[in-house]
Amino acid sequence: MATNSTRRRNALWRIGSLLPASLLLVALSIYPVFNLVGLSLSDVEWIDGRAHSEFIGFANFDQLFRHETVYWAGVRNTIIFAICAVTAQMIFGFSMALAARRASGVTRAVLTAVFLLPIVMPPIVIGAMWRLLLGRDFGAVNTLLGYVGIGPIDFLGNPDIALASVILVDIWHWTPFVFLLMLTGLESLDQEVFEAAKFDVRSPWQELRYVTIPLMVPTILITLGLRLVLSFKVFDEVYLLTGGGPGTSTEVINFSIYRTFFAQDRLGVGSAMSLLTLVAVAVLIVVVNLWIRKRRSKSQEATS
Amino acid sequence: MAQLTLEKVRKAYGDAVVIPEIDLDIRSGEFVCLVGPSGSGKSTLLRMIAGLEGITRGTVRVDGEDMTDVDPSDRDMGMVFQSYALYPHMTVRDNMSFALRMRKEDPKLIEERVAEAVEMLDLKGLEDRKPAALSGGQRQRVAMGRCIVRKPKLFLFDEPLSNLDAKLRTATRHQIRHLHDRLGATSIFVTHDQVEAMTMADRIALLNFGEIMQIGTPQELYLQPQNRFTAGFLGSPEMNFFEGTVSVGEGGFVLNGTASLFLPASAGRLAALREVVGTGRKVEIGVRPEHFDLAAEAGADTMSLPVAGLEWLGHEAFVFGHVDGREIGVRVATDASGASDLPKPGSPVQLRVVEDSWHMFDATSGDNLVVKSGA
Amino acid sequence: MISRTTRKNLLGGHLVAWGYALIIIGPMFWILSNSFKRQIDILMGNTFSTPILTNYETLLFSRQSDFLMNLWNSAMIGVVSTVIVLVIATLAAFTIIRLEPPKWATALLLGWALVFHMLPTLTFVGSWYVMFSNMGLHGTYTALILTHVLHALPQTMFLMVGFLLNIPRELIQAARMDGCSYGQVFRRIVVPLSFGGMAAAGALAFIQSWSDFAISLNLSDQDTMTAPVAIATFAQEHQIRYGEMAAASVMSMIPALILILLGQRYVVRGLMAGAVK
Ligand SMILES: Nc1ncnc2c1ncn2[C@@H]1O[C@H](COP(=O)(O)OP(=O)(O)O)[C@@H](O)[C@H]1O
Ligand SMILES: [Mg+2]
Repeated sequence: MATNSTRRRNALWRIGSLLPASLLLVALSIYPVFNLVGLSLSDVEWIDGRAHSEFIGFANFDQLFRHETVYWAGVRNTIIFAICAVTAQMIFGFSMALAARRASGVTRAVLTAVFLLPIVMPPIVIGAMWRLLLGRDFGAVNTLLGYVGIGPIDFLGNPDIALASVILVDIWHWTPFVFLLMLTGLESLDQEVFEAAKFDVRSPWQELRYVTIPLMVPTILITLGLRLVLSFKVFDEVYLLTGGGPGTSTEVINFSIYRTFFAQDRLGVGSAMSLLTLVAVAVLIVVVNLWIRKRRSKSQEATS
Repeated sequence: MAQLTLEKVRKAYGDAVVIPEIDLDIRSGEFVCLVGPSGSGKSTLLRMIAGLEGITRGTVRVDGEDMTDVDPSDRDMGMVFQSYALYPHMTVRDNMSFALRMRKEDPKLIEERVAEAVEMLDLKGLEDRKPAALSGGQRQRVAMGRCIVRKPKLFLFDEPLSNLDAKLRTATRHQIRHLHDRLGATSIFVTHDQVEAMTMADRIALLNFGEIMQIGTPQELYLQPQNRFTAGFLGSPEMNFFEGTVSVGEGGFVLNGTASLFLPASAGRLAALREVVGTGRKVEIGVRPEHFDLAAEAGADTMSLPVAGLEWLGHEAFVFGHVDGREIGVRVATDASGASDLPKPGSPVQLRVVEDSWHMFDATSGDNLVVKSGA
Repeated sequence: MISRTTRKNLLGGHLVAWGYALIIIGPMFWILSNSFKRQIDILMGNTFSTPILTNYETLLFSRQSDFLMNLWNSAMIGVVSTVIVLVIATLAAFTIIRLEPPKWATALLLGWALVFHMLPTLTFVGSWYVMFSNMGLHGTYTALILTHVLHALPQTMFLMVGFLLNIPRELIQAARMDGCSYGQVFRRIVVPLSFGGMAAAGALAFIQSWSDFAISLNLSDQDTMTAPVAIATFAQEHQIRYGEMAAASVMSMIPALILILLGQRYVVRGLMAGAVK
């Protein structure tokens, strides 16, 4: 009967339309996790371009926890990097959004266009660019500093300030993103609240403290959580700027994984690193998500 | 043209039962209005008929054929939505011809049908416009045109007039009813507006909490409401209700309760109800605003109503006041001379109930005891 | 009425914002100017010198350079993976929000997509490398396109879910009554009405693919190498060719610039929607 065939076709469509996305996610994101488990418990060797693995238990993890000091330096640096960079981005982005929110149409359009640039350009180009700018002997930054009498600083070569330089580049890269999110957030607030508040607050500072910030809490939390988790992805810029050096001063987790896996061909340990990182960040994601959700419902209760 | 039957149809979302169980028969060529307060399940019922909503239990038949598991696209029903749901990316013509094109009908036939509908709905010259460039009324007509061109077995309307202004609504009401007659269609029309239902329907099905309270012609529902809900829902201003117990008096009954009210009754009604009220059961008496007469002076058969407000509508006027904390509305005739001899706010009027024009409802079940007793 | 302090604040605020804009623009001009300089001028730190096109010529047309091919690879992989991810994501999004799949399926799909979106890509690349190598796909376009599609999938799916929510339910029901199967509703109603959303999601997916470094670095080979990987190799050679690196960087920025100029609205919409979800 014709009617049954329509039903069957629709049932097929319902399954079929979800299939490509599901298959792709299963094959290339869920299976690889299990694959990593297998690899991390094995001694892996390349024979004729294929990986051959032999089960060796937890030896790779033993190695990772006891001897891979570079990875642990990377963990430390990544955490410092994430906290410092994100804090600065939030402060700069939020204050600039506060400043620019009453900008007129043209100003806004131009500002938005400029601020979009770092977000949409390839990170590797940002790396290349800042490598040229921060170069010790010929970089533009040192040239500029020279004019005011500050002697050449080896931004990328001095182990004491290399990480700070990398953080600086990341702040340059992502502050505009925070700015745009905050600006959108500020503008989607009910403007009448601010008009009403004019009668109650005595200074701009009070307005900020008692009106703006409480209303922005949801946006701030989401942006903060998002940036925090995403900053664990850092790799491209570091690759070009410092390659993790000098020494381990700018080593980050992703760079350790890359080096172990691809440069040193130590697949077993590299897999163990990947797996450990993956699980740790996944836990972080879940925790941050729950935390945001809790804080958000709290602030909604408070405002409603 | 088709005939529709619902058999023991039930709808529940999880534990929330929206429609406990409904049986409904709609004859071929009939115009049936589903009325009820908001949230009573009208839309849900209509969408179950359309196939857009799954049926928890029961059967939907069209011309005897079981449609319960048939896909909406195969049901051959046309629906006009409250929001019209016109395809914003298609012109008026494409909107109207869409269904026929999906059925791969002959282009010539499609063109004819669209031209016919455009003519019928007075949409000439708008065929190449997109919905965004139409007024509310025009959109509404395109939505109807989209149904008409298909000549479906069943026309379904879900409050299609609620987004129009009052004047246009009246005109469109007539137009829809006229189209229905001209096409010889079978239509189900959902509305929460009793005026729409009263003016358009062959039969009205009144819904409350997913149950049909009464189904019948507008006259039946208005004049012989089977229960208190129906009596209260239809009519504006609403029927007046008085609670209490009833005893037999001279030429009628006497209500003893919130207010003391004399209810004149014919010999037939007296006989029919004598037994019912004899038990001293609690009842509610219902009297429509037009079923009071103004008496010149107070008497044993009148009730005094202090006038609190007056609404003058030209062809009639309504007097409002409170008796024992309950608002009472009374319709009074106006004559050509205007408002000069109307009751004045602040002074009382004497009301006398018109003989046999009142209803008596059981206080607990809400059944209309007059209708039930056959009086 | 704007009080004097407000006006002062406003002015100060604008100065800060424009100052930051300058900090963004400055480096870009610097790299642009460097791309027109000889290596020696760059190393000498000469601010001004006669512009030359040598860097671009060498990069694009010299025998030793594969950069033209790298650009082509980036473009090709970007376009193909964007088209594929748009189709896959829109299909899934429509079903998720309008065809009521089982709740657990939706939760699983969207939940994992969210987590995957935020996990460091590098933690997966090693596993992909082994998988593709074992299948003999290492270094192929297939491997790169598949991974780029996957990489953009969560974000595109979330964006499309957001955009499709704007299509009223009743429109889809009207189409069903008009005789459309789910597939026909998708083709005739959903796709035409979500072009705007698809443009926004597509722009972002393309940028993501075009900018990708972590995946392409490890899954491409000499023939399938993309522009960002090529730029990175400039930096690793013994004698860094700064001029060519700058020129290559400038050329890699072109798609982003075009997108901002032509479709700023879409890019912003996509970015904001993607971030808030
Ligand atoms: N998807 C749903 N899930 C749960 N309850 C629903 C759903 N849709 C409708 N309802 C409930 O069903 C009842 C009837 O709704 P509806 O048919 O739209 O009423 P009406 O059209 O008469 O105003 C309402 O109480 C509504 O809350
Ligand atoms: Mg409704």
